[in-house]
Parts: sequence; C-alpha cells; structure tokens
Amino acid sequence: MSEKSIQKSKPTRAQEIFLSAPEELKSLIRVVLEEERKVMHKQRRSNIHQVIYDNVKRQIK
Amino acid sequence: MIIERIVFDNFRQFKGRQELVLSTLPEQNVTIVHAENGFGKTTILKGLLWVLYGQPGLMGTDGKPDDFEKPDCLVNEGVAGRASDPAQVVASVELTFKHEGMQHVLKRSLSLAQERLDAKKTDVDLVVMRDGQTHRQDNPQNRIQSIVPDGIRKLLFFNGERINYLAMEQSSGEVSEAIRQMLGLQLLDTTIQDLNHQNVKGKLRAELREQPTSEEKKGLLDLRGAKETALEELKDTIGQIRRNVTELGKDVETIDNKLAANQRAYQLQEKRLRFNQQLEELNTSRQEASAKLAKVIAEDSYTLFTKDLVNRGREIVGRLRSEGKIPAKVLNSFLAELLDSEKCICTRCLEPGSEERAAVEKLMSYAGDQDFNNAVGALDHAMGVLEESARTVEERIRELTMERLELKRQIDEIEEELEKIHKELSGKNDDEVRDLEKKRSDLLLETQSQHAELGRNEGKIEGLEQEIADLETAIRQMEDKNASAALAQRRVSAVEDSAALLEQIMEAETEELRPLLNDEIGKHFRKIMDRDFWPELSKDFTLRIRKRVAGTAADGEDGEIDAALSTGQRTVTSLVFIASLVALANRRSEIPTIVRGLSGSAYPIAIDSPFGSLSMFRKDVARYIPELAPQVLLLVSPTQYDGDVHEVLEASGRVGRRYYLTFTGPTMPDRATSELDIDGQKLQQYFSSDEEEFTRICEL
Repeated sequence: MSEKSIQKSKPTRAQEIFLSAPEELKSLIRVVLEEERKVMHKQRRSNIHQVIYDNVKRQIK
Repeated sequence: MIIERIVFDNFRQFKGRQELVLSTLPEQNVTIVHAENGFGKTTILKGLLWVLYGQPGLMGTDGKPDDFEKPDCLVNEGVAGRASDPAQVVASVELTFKHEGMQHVLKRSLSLAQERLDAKKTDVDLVVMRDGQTHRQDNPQNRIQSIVPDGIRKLLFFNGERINYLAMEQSSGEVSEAIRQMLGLQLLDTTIQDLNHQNVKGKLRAELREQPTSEEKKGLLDLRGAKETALEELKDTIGQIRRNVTELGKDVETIDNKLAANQRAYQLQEKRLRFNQQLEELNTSRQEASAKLAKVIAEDSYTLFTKDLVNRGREIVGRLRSEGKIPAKVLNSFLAELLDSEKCICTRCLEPGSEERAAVEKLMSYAGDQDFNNAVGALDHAMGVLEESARTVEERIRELTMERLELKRQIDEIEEELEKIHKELSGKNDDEVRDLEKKRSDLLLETQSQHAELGRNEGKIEGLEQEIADLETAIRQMEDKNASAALAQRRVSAVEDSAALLEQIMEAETEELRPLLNDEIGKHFRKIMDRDFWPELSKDFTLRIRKRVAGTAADGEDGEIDAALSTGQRTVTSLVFIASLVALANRRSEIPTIVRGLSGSAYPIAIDSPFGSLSMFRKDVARYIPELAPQVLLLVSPTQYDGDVHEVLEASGRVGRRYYLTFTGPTMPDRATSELDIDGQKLQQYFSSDEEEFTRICEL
C-alpha cells in the first residue's frame, strides 16, 4: 500500500482513512499486513501472533 | 480456476475409475450430469469438495455432513469388502484444472487402512505445469487455499435446494463475509482478529497491568477486562442463538416439504404456504404503515396542538381590524417625513415647539407601521396554513390508523386460518402428519423464544460496548509518570487504534463495493425476474427484493416496500447474488482497493439440484444458468430437468457436455425409473445385481 500509488489517482474512502492516520500507525499496519500476507493461505498460522507482538515492540519504542 | 476433469477412483459408490470431463469452452460453459436421486449426484459434488479441502469439505456450514451419510467411509464398500491388504486399497479423487494459465493436477487419496485409523488424514498431491515443466508443490493445501479459499466454497459448490438461506434477514453476516472472502478483503478481517488476539493485545495489556501505575488506573484496566470478557460471552451467545434460529428455520422447511409430499396433508400444507406468504406481505405492509405513521407524528403532529393558538391569533387580528388599526389609515413613516421636513402637506410649518408640530407628533402614537401591517398579513397567512396542515395531518393520521387496523384485521384472519390448518393437521388420522405437525409447532415456539432471547442480548451488547468505550477513554486520559508504563500504554493504544483503523478501512472498502455489487445484482436479476421487482443489497447487507406500490408514500406518490419472498424467490435472489460476486471477482483487478496484489479470478460453480426449489422460476433460471459463472456444472434429476428446463437449456446452445449416471444394485432407489429418457432417447440407468451396489458415469 504505497502512498505514491495511492496519490496517483483520486484516493478511495478507505485510502483516505489510511492516509490520514498517524505515521506510527501507518508503519505498524504496513508491517503487520505484510506478515499476514505471508501466511494468509496457510492452515497453521500459530506463529503469527508472536510475529505481530514482536513487530509492535519494534515499531513502538 | 476452470475445471478440466474430475476422476473418481473407488470413491464411495464410484467403483473403479470413473471420470467427468467438463466443458471448458466459454461459449459452451455448461456441463450437465443427469441422475436419479440416490444414484450419486451429491457424491460428485462432495468428491469435488473432498479433493479440494479434505474431510472439512464434506461438512456443511454447521459442521454436519448434510445429505452425506457416513463421511468417514470413503473407500468403495464392495472393493473394501474384498480387500486382502487394506493398505493397497485406495479411494481417490483427482482434479485437473487451469488457473492463471497453468494446468494443475490435484489428487487426494485415502487408503482403507488409513480410513480405519483416521479418515481425516489423507494424502494430497498437487502438480503444476509451468513453462513446459512439471512442478510438485511442497504445500499443496496452502496453494489450493490461495486459489479457492475455504471461505468461498459454499458459494461455489452447493446444493441448490439449500442456498435460499442467503436471502434471509439473519444471513446478513454471511453475506458481508461472502463479499469479503470472494473479493479478497479477508486479509483485513484476519489482521483485525489477530491484532485483537489474546496473544497480542491481551499480552500487551497484561504488560501494562504489570507496570508501576496508579491504583485507580489498574482498577479501570481490571474493570475493562471484565467487561470485555462479558461482551465476548454475550457475542458467543448471540452467535449461537442466530445459528439456532437458522437451524430451526431449516427444520421447519424440511417438515413443510414432508407435509407437502404427504398425500393426506399436501392440500392443507399448500394452503398454509399461501397464507404464510400473505401473512409476510401483510406484516411488511403493516410495518411500513407504522413507519409512516411514526414519521407523520414526529414531523407534523405539532399542528394538531396549534388550534388554541390559531384561535387567539384570529381574535387579536379581528380586534385590530374592528378598531381600524389594521390596515393602518396613516403610516408613521409618512408622519416622520413631515416632521423631518418641518412642513405639513397643508403647507403649515411644523417647527419644534409649535402647536402644529405637537399635533402631528401626537398622531404618531396612533399611526400604523408598514412592517406591522406586513407582519399581521404574514400572521394571517400562517394561521391559515396551520389550520390547513392540522386538517391534513389529522386526516393522514386517521387514514394510516385505519390502514393499520385493517391490516391487523386481515393478519388476525389469516392467523386464525393458519390456526385452523394447524388444528386440522394435528387431528388427521395419520401418525406421520400428526407427528410432523407437533414437531413443527414446537419448532415455531422455540423460534419465538430464541428471537426474544436475541432481542434481550442485543440490548445488553449495546450497553456494554458503550461502557467499554468510556473506560477506554478514561484509561487513556490517565497519564503515566513512569516512562515504561507510558511506553506500555502507547503500545496497547497503537494495537487498539490499528485494529480500529483497519475496521474502518474494511467497512469503507466493503461499502464501496456495495453499489458495484448492486449494479451487478440488478443486471443479473433482470435476466430472471419481473421488472416491477428489483433486488437490493441493503446497508446492513441484507439481500432484499423491493417492489413499487402505488400511492403509499407519505406524499401520496408511489412508494417502495420489501417484497415478502417465497423459497423460490429467495433461491433466485441467492443465485443472483453468487453470480454477481463471481462476476465481480473476475474483474477484481479493475476495482480500486487498499489490499495490494488482488487479481481477477475466474471461478466455476457446481450445483446439486439447481432447480429443486425454484417452482415457477425454473424456466427463467434455466435460461440464466449459463450466465452464472465462466463454468457451470449442474447435477440434475430427471424430474427437475424435464420440460421447460430441458427446452431452454437446449435452445441456449450453451451445454458443452452431458453425462448420466447408471446405478447397479439389488434394489432401485425410491421413485427412480429403470430408464432415462433424454431427447427421446431411452437409456437404461438401473441394472439389477444382488452382488453389490455401484455407480458409473456415462457420457451422452
């Protein structure tokens, strides 16, 4: 979800909501979505919660 | 995904290797399998689900196997009975399909030995041909999930007689979930759930609780925790109640079908269905009338209380008129001009201190003001308007009240008729009918009680959510002096805010898809039903059929109401919804979204008994079937297919391949015939054998 690509065309309502969020939240959401995307089709995703937790700690310092 | 071939090998009643090659031509996208009930139609559908998802694929949405008895016995019984080495006897289904230009061959197998140990553990193998090379997939199930996620299987491979639930009010949750699943927004949903998970948000909150913070804040944190637990429990209860209501509805429908098939009950049952439909329509009209009445009372009923005010106004105006004060004979603005110019119109001087000036100044106190004249005129007019409005509102309230009373009278009459039918059926000299009627009555009572329970719990949820939101605000406002406590609070807030933001984004994305879906739904629907009706996906994601009714709006213009739906109409609406989702999924890449990397996907649709509960819409749906999806597999019984359906599908020229199933066994299933009549061609479909039962797939 790059801001450049969003800004190219008129942003949708969802994109507007995302763009108006504080930078810290945007970064956190980006990394969490990236991690989720890696495991979205896996039946067992047992580690995902730990991965998100670690990312929260890394992002919010 | 476009299916090329399904091969069954010793799978259930398919003894040995049996294959179905599906038509893959876009202009001939329909493949039909003709089979009597009990010959193996459902097994074909279940085989398709099993190869894709394994044992969970055999289960319905409620976790039960629906019409598929003994889902743990998949190896052909005859072959299993003769097996000397259970490890060597294997049941399998192989699916060959094209996806994103690549051919995939998916095979799932289960040996008899494994079936006896645990039928859920199957061997699955997926091979993909890419650039002339064959690649074996390391994690086949994950790949399949990415192609056809489990969440959309019930929309693509289903029993046509049971799909009508999508167009029921209580299915709005499933409808919005279907949209998210099919259109790729599930990633957002899963992320929200994971952020809110005990191991993420819960863990961070526990860390905050451990920090040196004030006792007051700790108290609030504990209170919020307790409230959230209570909220989760309530939500679980509500979910369970909703599932109960859906199940109860299905059970009532099953009983209704049994009564409709019973020789002694069918006439009364048909009458009951008609009355039920009328009752639904009347209830809808009564709700509409009540809503209109509420609107009139809220917006205009004040006019009814203005009678005294108007009368007083009229008195005042009348008095002023009789005293000659209105309209004013002389205007004070005219006198003021004379005083300013110090000259009267009779040429006398009006110098300050003069007698003449004093006389004119005295007149000023009697003279009228133009603004006053205007105000009196406006007041007069307003009183007229108020009087007229009061009369209209009184009349409208009377009309609507009469309408409600009349509807109530008709509802009472129909309820009485329904009660009579119930008594008559309960007193029938037929054990089956009496039992069914008793069960039906008990189920309806239970449904009412579940609805009441639902209402009570929904009210509680609203209150709890508000309390939690208030606590949230209070907790965040308590600043932490300790740096580590402040950091822990920031992390908790970041997770909560991220989840809330993603909720908003998901809602906005789903909401943006709604008009697009509504367009698709409208387009598809018009191919089947009358133009006086039109479907609508409401804001709360309920699938509705709206209809125009003459002169029912508050202003006397034509109004719109929800049409009460029969099972056939609900089935049509559900099919249209699925077809619209499939069409939108196909052009997904054109629709802007925040979720990166969503591409368009073609999906096939396989329907068992597609024409079973369509009644009068069979012909129209048959005409529309080729438009449902890029590829359609129909599993039909002769009674559903004969006549109109056959004619329409034949005329469409869209049927690419046709098969029929033959059954061999000691007895022929109920209501089946030994020969199948297709296009005047007599085909033997039943073969008597005392040895074993099995089904063969034969191409026409």
